[in-house]
Amino acid sequence: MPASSPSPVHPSLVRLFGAADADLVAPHLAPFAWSAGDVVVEEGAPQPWLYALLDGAVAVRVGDEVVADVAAPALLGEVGFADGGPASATVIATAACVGGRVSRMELSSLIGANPEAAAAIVHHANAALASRLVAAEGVAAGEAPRVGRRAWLRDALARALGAA
Amino acid sequence: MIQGHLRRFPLFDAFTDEEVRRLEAVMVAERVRSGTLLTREGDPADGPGAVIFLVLAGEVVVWQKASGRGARHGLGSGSLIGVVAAAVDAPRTATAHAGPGCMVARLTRGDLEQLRRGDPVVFVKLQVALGAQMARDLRALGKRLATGPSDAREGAR
Repeated sequence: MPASSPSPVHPSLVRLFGAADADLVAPHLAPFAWSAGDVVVEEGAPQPWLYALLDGAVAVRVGDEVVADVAAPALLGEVGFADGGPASATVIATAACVGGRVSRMELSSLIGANPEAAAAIVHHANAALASRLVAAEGVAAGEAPRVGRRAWLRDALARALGAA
Repeated sequence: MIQGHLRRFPLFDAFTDEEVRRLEAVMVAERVRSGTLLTREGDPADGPGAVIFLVLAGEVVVWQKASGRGARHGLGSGSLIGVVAAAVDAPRTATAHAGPGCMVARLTRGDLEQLRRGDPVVFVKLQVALGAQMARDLRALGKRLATGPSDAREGAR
C-alpha cells in the first residue's frame, strides 16, 4: 500500500469524494498513469481495482462496441471491486490519464488498519453502484423500441454494468 | 439480537466469528405476518422503521410500480432489502411485503450509526457486503437486459 500520496490532494479527488473523505482516502490510492490507446481493463479478466480517474478520458467497450465515453473525474471498476468478479467491459484510455487506485486486497488490509479510510472508499464505491443500479432499473422498466432495439439494449447494458 | 443466522449466508463470509456475533447483537429478528408492508416505493428510507432488512426465512415479495406493468418477484433467505437506500440515502426503490413464513432481521439508521461510531470494522464489512450484493444485482440485471427487456425486471434493493 502506498505510504504517501500526491500533495496537495488532487481537486478531482475532492470532487469525487468531498474534501474530508479525499484527505482520508488519498494516502491509500496508488497513483497510475495511462497513455492514450492503453487498454487498461480487459473484458473477462480479473478486475479487483477501484480506479479514481482524476484527469483524462476513457472509452468503455463491450464486445466490439463502444458503449460509453467517460471523462474525469469518475470512479471506474466498482462492480469488480465490490464482488470480485471479472471485468464486464474493456476500458481503453482515449487521452492521457492519471489517477489513483486501490485493490480489494488492499481494502481488506485497510479495514483493520484504518477503518475510517476504508469506510470512505466503500461508501463512495457503493454510492456509484447504487446510482448505476437505479439507472439500470429505470432502463429495464422501459420498453425496447422496435427500431434500434440493439442499440437500446447496448445502452441499457452499459448503464447496468458501468464502466468496467 | 439474532443468533446463529448470519453464518449461513455467504454475504458474511468476510466476517470473523466474533464480528458476526457483534453484528448479530445489534440486529433484531422478527417473524412477520404474510402481507405485512416492509417498504413502500418512494418513501424516505430514514423513517422510524428499518433501513435494511435481511431475510432470515421464508420470502419477501417485492413490487416496482415505476416499472410500468409492475415487476413482482420473491427474495428468499439471505437476501438484503434496502441496500440502495442505505448506500445513497435515497427513497425506497420498491415496495416489499412479507410472504408466507417470513422472518427478517432489521437494521435501523440508528443501528448503522451505532456501528459506524462504535464498531467501525463491522460497519465497513457490512458496507462491503451491501456493495457486493449491488454488484451482483447489476450483473444479473445486465444479463437480463442483454436477453430482452421483458425479462429485465429486478428491484427492491
